[in-house]
Amino acid sequence: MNDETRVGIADIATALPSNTVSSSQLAQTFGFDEAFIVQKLGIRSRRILSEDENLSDLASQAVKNVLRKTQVSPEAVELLLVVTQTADYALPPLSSIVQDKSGLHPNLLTLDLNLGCSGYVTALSVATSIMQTQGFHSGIVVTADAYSRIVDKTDRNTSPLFGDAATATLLSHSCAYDIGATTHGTDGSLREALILHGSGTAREEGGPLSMDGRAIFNFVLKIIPGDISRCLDLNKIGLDDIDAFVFHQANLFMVRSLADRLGVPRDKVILSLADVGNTTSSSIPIALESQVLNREHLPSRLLLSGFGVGLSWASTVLTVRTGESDGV
Amino acid sequence: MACSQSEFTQFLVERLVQVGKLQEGVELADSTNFSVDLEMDSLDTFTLIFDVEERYGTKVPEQMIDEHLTVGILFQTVTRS
Repeated sequence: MNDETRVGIADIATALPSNTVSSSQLAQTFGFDEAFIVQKLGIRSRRILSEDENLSDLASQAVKNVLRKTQVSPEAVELLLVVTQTADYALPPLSSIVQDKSGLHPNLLTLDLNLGCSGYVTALSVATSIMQTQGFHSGIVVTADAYSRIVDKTDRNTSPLFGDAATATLLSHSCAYDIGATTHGTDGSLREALILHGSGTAREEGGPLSMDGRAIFNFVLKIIPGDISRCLDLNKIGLDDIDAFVFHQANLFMVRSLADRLGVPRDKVILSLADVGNTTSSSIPIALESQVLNREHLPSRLLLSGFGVGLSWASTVLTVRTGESDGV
Repeated sequence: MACSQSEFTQFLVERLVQVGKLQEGVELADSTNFSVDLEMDSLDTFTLIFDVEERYGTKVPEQMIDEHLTVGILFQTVTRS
């Protein structure tokens, strides 16, 4: 496939709520251990939607931001793929609302992808496949979640971890990074490790987000190194060929444990959660925008790996488009 | 799982030294409490238990991992599984 038909990442924009909650505030209000949250989990603060904001507002702002950055017209966008688990409504899909609020032309394909932390990498794979099959020139992948609306604010296992965020990634033929072969996986037998009971049509009691941190930790250390190895093989490269690793930013401890398990030097591991927390599907694009795409010289090869709710996972390799290494 | 207590303790010592929770040359006793004596938080303990489970092909029940967990209790759990 040549560059004229190959779709890649042109640019990324983030939208964050204005309301900031510091770990110090959480510690004072709920008696959490601030040092543990800051030093071990690596989170100083997170952004939370205010009562009068909806997730669609944030997602639409991210779309507007990326269109402004790239000077692409809203009429030119042919695909809008929104990754979310916390849409404004059970129906219609969030992508319908974002199409309207962000001013995109109605003649486009919109769809939602109900995934969490593996969602961005999966969405890149799905979106590029659709675009190449349909002959689309420009598409946008949005990631958006507001876990502040589903966590128990007094739960020390979940409340300190998560932050709300949205991102928009413009995919086009003119791009900074090409997207390599992607590995995917799901083990639904582990679904109880991260679940929101009562949010669907199953006849069960509702409740806030339930997370089994130990089960997720074990899953990540057991499954993800093998998936990354499979991804590298699929892309016919080795671990040493990767210039930077962008793992899902679950928390500092998890990212470092995974890096150590893989034998990856810590200076090659991107970290971007200190002021946003775990933003689920937005964590990888936030890391890419804030720590990679703003560099004067783009790293040649990146490995992305997302993992979470499902439990599911996906990994891929980004390779800088030749001639694009001086910035987007 | 058949393993000797000395071999098990040696494995723990190596892992704990590796992650900076134990100084080289310091010995572990049956009564050594991971939380109190080694000042390990829940995430440190998760990591150690993960390594133990992998090494000995066992599963340490969730309810065992609390502030009362000692070297001796962990050894008994692993050998009984």
